[in-house]
Amino acid sequence: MKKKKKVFVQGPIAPDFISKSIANHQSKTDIGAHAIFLGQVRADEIEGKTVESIDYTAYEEMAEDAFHNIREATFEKYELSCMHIYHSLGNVKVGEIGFFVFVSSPHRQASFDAIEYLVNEIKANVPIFGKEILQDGAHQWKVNQ
Amino acid sequence: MEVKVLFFAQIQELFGVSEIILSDIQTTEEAIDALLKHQPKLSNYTYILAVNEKIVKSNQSLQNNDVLAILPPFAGG
Repeated sequence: MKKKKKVFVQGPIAPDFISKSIANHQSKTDIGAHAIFLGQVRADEIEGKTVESIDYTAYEEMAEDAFHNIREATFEKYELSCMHIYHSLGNVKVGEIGFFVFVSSPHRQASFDAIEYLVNEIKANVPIFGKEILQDGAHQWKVNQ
Repeated sequence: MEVKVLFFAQIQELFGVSEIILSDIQTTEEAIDALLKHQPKLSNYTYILAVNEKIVKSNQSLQNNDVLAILPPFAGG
């Protein structure tokens, strides 16, 4: 079994980190296609109040196992050269990135297909919770659609 | 026989703590019954159960030192 990779990062995922991740692949010359999914915190309106940020928490031990299993299943299903998954814990403000999934493959179709599968599997199967903080300090708990 | 119960997110708010220990229970159903006695409002919440980090969909027997997690809807991504 491969070593589990670290997925969780504290706070938002910086655009700088994302661009560095892209740059790190320039030496991998079997890659012909990258697909990237970025989850951004949306300013939803809930009963007249706007969401200002999301506080993410997780059942970390179980989430790390789930990420690992989804990762292995995705590698089996699609012809990928590499895969990176990052998810925020803690506070992520509206407009900031809290989820970064990055897959690379020799040809485009595997990347297109894998990114959709990965994102959907993670949303459905990883025990992460999101507390939406509203402008007046009240909160409600996010549920994935 | 003791089982550790973990609470997350809205259910952690409801109980006011992140974990409790339940004694003298044999199954996940008995655990939920005991939790409902502690906090009847739990019945208003949507959740699934995991035993030792594995999701369980039906009643399951518990062993000493098992960890039972009460998981509200996932919201990652």
